[in-house]
Amino acid sequence: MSARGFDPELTRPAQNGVYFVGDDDLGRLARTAARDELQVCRIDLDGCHDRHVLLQRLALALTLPASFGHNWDALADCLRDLGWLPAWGHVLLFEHADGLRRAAAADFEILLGILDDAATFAGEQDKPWFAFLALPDDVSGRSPAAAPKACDPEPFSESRKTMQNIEFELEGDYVELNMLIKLTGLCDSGGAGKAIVASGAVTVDGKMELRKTCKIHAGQQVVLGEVAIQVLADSR
Amino acid sequence: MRRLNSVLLLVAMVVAGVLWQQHGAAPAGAAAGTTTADTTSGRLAFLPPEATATLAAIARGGPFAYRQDGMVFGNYEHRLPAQPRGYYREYTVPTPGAGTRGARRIITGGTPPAVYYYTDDHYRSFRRFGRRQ
Repeated sequence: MSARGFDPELTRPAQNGVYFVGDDDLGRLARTAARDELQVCRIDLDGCHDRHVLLQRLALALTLPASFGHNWDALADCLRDLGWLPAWGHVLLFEHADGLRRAAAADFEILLGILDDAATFAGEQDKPWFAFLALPDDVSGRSPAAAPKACDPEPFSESRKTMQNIEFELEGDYVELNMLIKLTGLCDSGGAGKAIVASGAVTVDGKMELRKTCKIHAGQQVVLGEVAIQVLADSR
Repeated sequence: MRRLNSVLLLVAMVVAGVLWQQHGAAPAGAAAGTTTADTTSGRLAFLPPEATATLAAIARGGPFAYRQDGMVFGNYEHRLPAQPRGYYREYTVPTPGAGTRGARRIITGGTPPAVYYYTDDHYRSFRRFGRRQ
């Protein structure tokens, strides 16, 4: 077990998601996943500094079909499928992911979003689906929450003494939890919101909520760190 | 409402097909060269036969052949006009003989669908069809 944090339970789709780990964690994760009879795919990103090489590496490592369109939408589509690698769940292990993160930060963020979408989709089918990206210690130290950089938990740190209250008025009947976090400005994207929810940092009416797109209705209270969001009915 | 729109769409396609036959001149397509229609089914010529069942399932609201059908299309490449996430949904158009879901998809925009796109090269290019409400 890594000193940096606890591994998610790979057999539990509720913990599906994208996680940052150290390079030396991948071997242990691969063994655990193999023991649980999950399909393990290793993608070595050594020397991979742009999306074109990334898509080529993924096509090879995941044996993507010949029809693969070599674009982000095509990748999102394939990751929601993986029917050619039949298994009750999938674990993707990205080695040496730091080069891509440094050289092509925007592409790296898109990759995280697509991986998270796939993890969420598999979770809806009750299938385990995990992606682990190996980064140097100073980056992966926040493991297991794969909070993208745009979503540093700093604003919610313990240094803040008082609870900040936000009122959020619905447009329509409900808002998805990850989008609520985005729309209230607590992070920059719905994908980042999902990562925050997956990390267990969010409570709804006092109970931890791990369902990233859980529907939040009027009257509910969502708490993240020192921020409390009161959800109000659509007044129009 | 969804069913009504779908019926309107079908009617529009058939009318387009009849007009095409009467005038014998191809109108210039908006996004794609051809809007030629198959007059027997009202199916646009660039759509393969398998698209008919997919469109019918979309019109019915399901059930669909694949669990990925009806899921949000991310438009990560921005090849379709920018819209809030959740506006676009995608549906598989089966490829006979392919062991996988192949490269053909129909993307709908709006709920109920107001705009339709077809790709046969796995999201590299799209042809728009249908009509705005």
